[in-house]
Amino acid sequence: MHFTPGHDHYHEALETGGLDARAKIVAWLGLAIAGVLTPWGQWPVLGAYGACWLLLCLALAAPLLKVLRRVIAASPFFLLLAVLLPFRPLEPGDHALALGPLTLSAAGSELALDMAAKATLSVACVAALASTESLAGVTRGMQRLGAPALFVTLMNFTFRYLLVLREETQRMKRARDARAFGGRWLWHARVVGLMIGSLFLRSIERAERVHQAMASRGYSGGAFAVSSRALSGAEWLLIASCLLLFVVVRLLPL
Amino acid sequence: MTAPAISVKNLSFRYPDGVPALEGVSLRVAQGERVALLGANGAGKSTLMLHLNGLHESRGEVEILGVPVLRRNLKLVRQRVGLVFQNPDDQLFCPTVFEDVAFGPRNLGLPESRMEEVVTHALAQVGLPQAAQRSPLHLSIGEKKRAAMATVLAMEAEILCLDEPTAGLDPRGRRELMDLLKALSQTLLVVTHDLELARSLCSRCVIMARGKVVAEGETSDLLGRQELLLEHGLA
Repeated sequence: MHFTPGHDHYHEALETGGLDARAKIVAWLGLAIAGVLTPWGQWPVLGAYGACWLLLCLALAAPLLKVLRRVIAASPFFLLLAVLLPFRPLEPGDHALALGPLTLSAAGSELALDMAAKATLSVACVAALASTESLAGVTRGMQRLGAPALFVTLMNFTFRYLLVLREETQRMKRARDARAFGGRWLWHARVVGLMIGSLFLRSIERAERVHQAMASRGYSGGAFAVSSRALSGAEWLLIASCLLLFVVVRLLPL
Repeated sequence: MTAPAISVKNLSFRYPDGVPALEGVSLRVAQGERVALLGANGAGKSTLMLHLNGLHESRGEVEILGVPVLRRNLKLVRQRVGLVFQNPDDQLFCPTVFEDVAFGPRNLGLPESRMEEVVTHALAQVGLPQAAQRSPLHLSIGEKKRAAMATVLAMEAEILCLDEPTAGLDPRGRRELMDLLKALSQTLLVVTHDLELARSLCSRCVIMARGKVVAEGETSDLLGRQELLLEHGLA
């Protein structure tokens, strides 16, 4: 995700249709899991899951262009994993594909495509979830769904303090550069190292102060309480129809 | 006789690295009183504040409304004393302002059915009625300071301890905060070096230096003694 100071990342994603985050998490996560569990080589099934993704995006009014931009921005990270697979040594039952001067493994290439497709689908699901629900909503929803409280707390804190840390880093850099620091040569590494160390110490001290602020309001460890309500009919409908759809797609003779 | 809101007797504290922060501090604040705790940087003001809530433990006696600050009383003490930290980024750690204001009451066991009402009331009190669903990240410093106030007001604390409430605020933010403080009926202990704030808000001042209380008295008297202020880095 790209962070812009002053931009409200929490709330840029509106809580579409007022549906509870839990319903959306189950729907998107269900689709990602269904996609990943597709036996490899079953391209029509994966294609149908792609169509499900589009359908769900439309149903939840996800901003398609923005979601796609996010998927593309993240793609180098997960596509890199698949890039080397076609070059694996041939195994019995495999055959070689010629690509110019290169010899590729046919099985390896198919595996690479399969991985790339599934990874793209999974990332697209996460990106769509992030665009149809605020981060605060997602973490609350996860906690209500029974995700480990420590994990949820960690996620909240990471997001909450990432920007604060970034601003602190920028202030330090500005102060450094204002004193005519070039920062291009190897001997400048010491200064950068000192900055990182100082950022680390400041973070520890901040953590201590945050903890004091929490303790002074009666916190004694454990999960933050979240309020909860029963899922509405519409939310149950979304969950049930999504899960049913994913199962049916898998069982269809495609 | 009613118990004083805050009673500190002969309190001494050293930081783990051996630096003495408080040396035999005694302090008494009556219920409903507004007291300014003045002193230069490093005088021990903030350290003293942390003791009022049991965040630091050390030799000496601290009592809040007659209840000694001991481990077994922590919950009660922390409900009665609301600390507002100097940097609101330390105090606002939740994804939304609502969650932050609800954090204390939830820890005290307030039922969810009353949460909305309590949070809305606290935010209205500090003049941020629209901020509940916003992220603390995106509030201005003045708004953050007021949201931080709301987090302790929601706990219905009877004693408020504010660490440098006006530091870093622009004149309007400062005026809004002062108006808010003047409207409060709680006992106030304000840690500051903003003498104007002390003058217009507090009837009594306590001056600390090097971990000791060096002077205390009526605000009008104390703040008129220029040589005293100069000596302790306040003028």
